[in-house]
Amino acid sequence: MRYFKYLSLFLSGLVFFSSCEDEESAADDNGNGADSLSRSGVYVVNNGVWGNNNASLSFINFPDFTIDNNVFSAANGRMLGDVGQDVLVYGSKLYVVVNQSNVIEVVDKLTCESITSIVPLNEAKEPQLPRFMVSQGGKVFVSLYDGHVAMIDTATLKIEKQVAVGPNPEGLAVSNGFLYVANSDGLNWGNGYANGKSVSKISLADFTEVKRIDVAVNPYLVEADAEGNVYVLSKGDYAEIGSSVQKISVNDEVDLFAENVSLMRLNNSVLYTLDGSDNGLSCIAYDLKSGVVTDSCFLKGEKPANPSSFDVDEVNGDLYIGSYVSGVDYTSAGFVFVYGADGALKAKLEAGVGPYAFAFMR
Amino acid sequence: MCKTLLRLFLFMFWSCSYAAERADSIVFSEKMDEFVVTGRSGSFSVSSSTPVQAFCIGDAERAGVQYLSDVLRRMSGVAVKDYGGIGGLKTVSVRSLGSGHTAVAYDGVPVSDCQNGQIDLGKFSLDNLRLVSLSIAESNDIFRPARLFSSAATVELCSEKPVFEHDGRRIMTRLQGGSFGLVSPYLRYEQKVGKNSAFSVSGSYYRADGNYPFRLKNGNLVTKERRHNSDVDAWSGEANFWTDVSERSSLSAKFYFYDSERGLPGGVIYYNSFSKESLSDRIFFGQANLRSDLSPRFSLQFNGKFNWNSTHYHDEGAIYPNGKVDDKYFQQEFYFSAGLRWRVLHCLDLAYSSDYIMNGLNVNQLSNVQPERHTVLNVLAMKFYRRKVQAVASLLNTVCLNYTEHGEAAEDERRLSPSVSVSYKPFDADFNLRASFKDGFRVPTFNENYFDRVGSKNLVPERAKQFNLGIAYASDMMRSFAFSADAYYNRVDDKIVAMPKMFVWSMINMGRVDIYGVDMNAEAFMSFAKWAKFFIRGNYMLQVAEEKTDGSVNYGSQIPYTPRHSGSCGLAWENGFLNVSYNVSLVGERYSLPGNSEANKMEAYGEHCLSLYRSFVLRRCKLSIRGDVQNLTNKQYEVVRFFPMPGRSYRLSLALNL
Repeated sequence: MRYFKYLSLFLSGLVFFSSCEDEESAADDNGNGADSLSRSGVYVVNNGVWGNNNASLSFINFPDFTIDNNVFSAANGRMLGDVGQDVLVYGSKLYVVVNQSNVIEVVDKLTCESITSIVPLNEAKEPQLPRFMVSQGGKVFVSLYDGHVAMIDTATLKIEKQVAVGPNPEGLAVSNGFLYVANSDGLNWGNGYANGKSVSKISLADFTEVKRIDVAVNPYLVEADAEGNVYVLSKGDYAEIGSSVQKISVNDEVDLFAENVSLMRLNNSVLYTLDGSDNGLSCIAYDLKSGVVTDSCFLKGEKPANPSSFDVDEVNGDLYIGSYVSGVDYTSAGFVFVYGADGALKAKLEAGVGPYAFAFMR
Repeated sequence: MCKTLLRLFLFMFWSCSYAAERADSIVFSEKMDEFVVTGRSGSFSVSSSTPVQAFCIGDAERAGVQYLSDVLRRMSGVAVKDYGGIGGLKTVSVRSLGSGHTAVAYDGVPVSDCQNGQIDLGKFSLDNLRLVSLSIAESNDIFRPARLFSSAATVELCSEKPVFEHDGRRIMTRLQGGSFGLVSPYLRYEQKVGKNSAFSVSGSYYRADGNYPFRLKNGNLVTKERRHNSDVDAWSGEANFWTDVSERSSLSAKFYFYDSERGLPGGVIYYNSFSKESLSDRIFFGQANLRSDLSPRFSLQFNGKFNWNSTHYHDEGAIYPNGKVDDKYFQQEFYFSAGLRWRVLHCLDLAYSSDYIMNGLNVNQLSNVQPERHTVLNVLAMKFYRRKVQAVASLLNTVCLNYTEHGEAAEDERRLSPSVSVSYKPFDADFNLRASFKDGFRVPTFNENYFDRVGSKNLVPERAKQFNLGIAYASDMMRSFAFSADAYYNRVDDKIVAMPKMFVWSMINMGRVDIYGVDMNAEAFMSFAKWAKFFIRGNYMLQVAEEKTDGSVNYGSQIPYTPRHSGSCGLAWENGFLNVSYNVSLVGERYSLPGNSEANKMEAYGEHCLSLYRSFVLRRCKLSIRGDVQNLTNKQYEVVRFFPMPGRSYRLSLALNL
């Protein structure tokens, strides 16, 4: 029986970090966005341990960097579910993807009280298993592991439309009126991820797939810069082919950008990449405008033992790295490390198990 | 081997003594004077130098057991991991060493699973069995295949051997029905062939829907749910043949077949009850044993086995390529063992046994490496026995060679594992002191070595050291009373675990666990009148099993699924009219994950079982009727977190022996 567990561990071992762009245009119906000034900080969704229904939500308070854990269960008297995957602030609401529970929890971003739970089901009423979110123009787009992207209307809080993409889609990003989604074909690893290796380009005008752009095996994360370039992190096949970042230009040409990258985040024309090896953690900042590459050691002080997530505060450039408690423990409460833009450690906060994604709220 | 065990245990309870009383009609050359014994004994051995427990299947009613997992749950030091329900996986771990360190042997030959390393007890029914025993560290029977020296604990299943009374044939039937769609018929036919031979054939079918209700607690939210996709459908068949080749030699052979299909409901996932996973298993094995007493001093035995095993895992859903996943695994094993025993002196035996095992695995995926493992085991064992002292020592050499058809093979292993035990009887009374030590290990399973992208070829074996000190006492006071207590220390090093490193999972050797524990057993039999026979038994287990991995944040924490306190007790009143037994298993608080936090805590539970039974004898026929209420208090509990166990359930069983 152990092999099913391994397979599932494989899946849950994949990490994600939010690609929410904190769009200004809150086409939000409730209009209580003004209250957001009364609380600022960062939401963290914690993965939990697969099969243990212990995903959780934490909140890091600004400006003193204190953390409140289990804020969802405290507000709602029930658990978030199994495998917390992504979190996104949009308008007055917080969207939380809980992958194995097949639910997108929509909660009030100030109180964390549940407003509704969106359950993506296909025609056969099978769970579609949500993965990643991105928001744009009053919509939240969610990649669904059964090969779809759902468009959630933030006024009705319902799935308005779905578009079929490649198998097992992962991260997504919006650029130039298009949505880019990584088609991983991750469950086809036994067959070399044969039907993935691509990024679906979806027109936001009519929510249809325009084309598939070939990329390296097992694409996972997608980021977009201000110039309309899209960066795709592919994890490789865990065997012969290593991980890499490729750049898709405005005219859909694909070039290798960097190799050996586990996590990446783009902020204000700087692409940050993170990778771990037996020699320790490497964190590289690529200034996309000046071409200056700031290498490895710009993180100072204690470094995360086993990173699970990575994000950047676009206001001040603070780096957030979620981490398991150690390299050999994936079931105990992990940490969020906060580094200033200069790499100095600002805070180390105990969060839930496997902090997986961040959403900034100001 | 089973014969020896039976001799060892001098059974008090009627079912076994029943067999023994009738034993003179047996067709075999067993010396029955060795078999029929006087004085006490019961479910644990007093004289053994290591803890040995046994359960006579004839006592099933009295102990309220239905399945092999129930039998083991009643034994000291045993934890049965039960994933719930009738078809749920059930594995056994002894004294917190993990299921990979426990071997299960059927009539002296181990049942193996080289892929997972753990045996699903749910695949064995009690129908064909006569005795189940558990020996921790080494058994005192040194004339055994080397392979049985290689695990930290051994569960032995001994099959029923025919005992003919009248016309040389016997038919046994049983029909069982119960809650959640349980239906199970069983038929066995035994026949004497000529003067010196006999055979038996048996078959059983087993089906259940397993869709039991349960209460799900999620924070303040309590909902009523029902298990689904937990149906099971299983067939099994067995044929046995025994013959006395000569005055001094006997041959036995067994063929076994098992075929099951079951839904895998999986763990409960909050807000998502979708489940379509299923598993089909097919097992076929044939084995033979030849034993020969060459002279009063020398005995020889040979064992051989062929095993074929297929597992088909199926799941469906739009997330999979082509909407489904079908993983098929095929295991093969060839096994051969030869052993020699030499009675050097009237108080000293030497035994040597040499085993060869070939294991292979085929997988239907592209990543199939087709691993093959050749294991050669050689053991030299010595037993010294005087009236007051018994000492057993053995040294096992293991050579494990790995090959693969494609890709790199795992590292080979060569190891020595010693074991020593001694028991001492200081007084005339049946009182014994015992001490034992064993240094063993388990080699990584094929999954651990080769599972696609996760397995690791340079794993070293997981080591387990066992120390035990104990006392055992038996008395004829009030007819019969026995008590045993053992204190032990186990240490596990280089535990094999799956670990993610920057999102990539791999198998690593990591960590150490220290286990301190106490096992206590007591039992008594009192007979005041024909209508007032009482059987009382109880056991208690203390286990302090601590994570002792350097640098671990959970250093000093109790390891998962290990209650500090647990135990069971049972009471049976046999009156000849309607016999009653009541049994309860108690399991204390434990944790579902390595951290001992409140969130990981699982609450204590007690599971109560009431059985009513009676037998009627009509001429040559014996009719037995039995009714059980399992989980009498309808307690909602879990053995494995998020795998809810059934609430109150009922079973009725009718058995007819002709």
